[in-house]
Amino acid sequence: MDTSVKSPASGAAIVDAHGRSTREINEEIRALIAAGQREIEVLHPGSRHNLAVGILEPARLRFRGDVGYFCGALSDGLEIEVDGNAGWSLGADMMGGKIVVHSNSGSSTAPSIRGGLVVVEGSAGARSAIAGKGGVVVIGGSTGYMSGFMNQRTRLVVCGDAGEAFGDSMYEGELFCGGEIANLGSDTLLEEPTDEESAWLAETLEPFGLGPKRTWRKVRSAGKLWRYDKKEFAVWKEAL
Amino acid sequence: MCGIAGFLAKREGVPVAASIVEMLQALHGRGPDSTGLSLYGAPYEGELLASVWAGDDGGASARDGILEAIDRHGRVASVDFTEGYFRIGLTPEDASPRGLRELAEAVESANPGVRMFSLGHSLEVLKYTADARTLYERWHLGDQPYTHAIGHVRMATESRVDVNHSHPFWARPFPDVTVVHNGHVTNYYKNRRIYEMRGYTFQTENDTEFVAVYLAEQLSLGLTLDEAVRRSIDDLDGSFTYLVSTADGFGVARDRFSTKPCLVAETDAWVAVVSEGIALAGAFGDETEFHTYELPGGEARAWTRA
Repeated sequence: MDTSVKSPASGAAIVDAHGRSTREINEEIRALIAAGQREIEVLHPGSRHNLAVGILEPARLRFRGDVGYFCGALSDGLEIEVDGNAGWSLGADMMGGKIVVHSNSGSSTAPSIRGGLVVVEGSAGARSAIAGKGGVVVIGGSTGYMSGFMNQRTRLVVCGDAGEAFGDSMYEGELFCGGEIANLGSDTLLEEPTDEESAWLAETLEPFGLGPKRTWRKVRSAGKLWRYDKKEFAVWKEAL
Repeated sequence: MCGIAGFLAKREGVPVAASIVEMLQALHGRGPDSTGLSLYGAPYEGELLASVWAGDDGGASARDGILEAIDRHGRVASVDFTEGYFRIGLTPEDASPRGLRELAEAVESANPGVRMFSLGHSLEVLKYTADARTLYERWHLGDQPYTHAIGHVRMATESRVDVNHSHPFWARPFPDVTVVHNGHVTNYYKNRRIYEMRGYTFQTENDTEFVAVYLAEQLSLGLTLDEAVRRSIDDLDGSFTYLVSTADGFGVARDRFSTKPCLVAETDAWVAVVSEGIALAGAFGDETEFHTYELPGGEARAWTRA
């Protein structure tokens, strides 16, 4: 992280996490928001887990350093910025809002989100955006295996390479990959993005200065596993 | 759960023991049962250095029996006793794997509960049912010029909570090779039986002990550390992120499902491999700038000292 940008935004409240428990830090963040503060900067987050979980009111939160597991999980309407890395399960189950991580994230990035935008400007670990139910997840670099697993309505954008079983058993929605896909998951189709989708990709990534490593390709469900009869073993076998 | 850490200094003057102890202390919540360290590079007299645990009830009284056992298989060059551990510099009569196994067995038969936790040219193992800072203070680790180390905080899931079942595990009878591991190896029993038929002896019911012996055998057959850790991904089943260390450096491997965490950080001065970012923040504060990344599942890496 760049230590030269430590001066807070004007009017931002400062929460210094140094030497304090996660509970104390989260209580202070909640108290500030309840008192009407909408700009908060957290110093020395120290990769603690569970920072800013379960906050349902809008506010801008900036973490000046690495955060641990579940940062921003179960939240709705927060705008979180992380000047560093994030651990596992970033933004898990979030309902809405925005999370931007300026470096890398761990595995299970943005699982099961219902809305909002999660952007990891670096690379993510395995299993990004699994069981997504809405919203958009952007990985600026590459991600590991089984990303987009059982996707329902999330749009996952991977600018770099995607690991094995990309989009495995996805129901609906679209996954986009700008680099190499190691291999596709069960019951998926590889397509070219439509003009509309290409425009959406450019528009979504423009604020972050991100783009495809090579060219965009789209993965969606082939739909064969949506419904089947137990007697149709051939469908099972082919789709899986 | 468990937490693991590895730290290798690329140049002199980098505090190895203090760094890895702070990493393990930060990971204490992942493994409150016990803490263990493999430390490499501190000076001693003789050809080999042995870490001998005097046993839960033991103490300095085990000394005569241990030294007599070593005398039968070689020569004792120096002995130090601190908090239940004998640190013995020695010169063996027979430095082959067979000779070292017999030496270790002789020492362990000296007194009930005595265990030889390590034997190597630059290795010493310390493990205790206490936190990392307690180890650091009790054994004055900050005074020693270590070159690299691996460590473990344990949350026991498949064998007893005691010093003997704590990590790291030495790859008896191969000098210097030790392993710390987060996860479970599921083809352990089958492999252990095969290795026992080939003459290896195992001191615990812990799966990690097999990983150590397996890797050390691969190295003894001529594989480089890098090749050995890569091959292990196909040979071991189950969930694992493990660190293996030799006198020259350490390697890390992660199973393909990668359910056990693993972060790598590297600077010009050192390499660190840890379970979680809190370990790096604990050791270096969170205002330092270095690149960290998650080791992808199914991948392995090794670093050796230049």
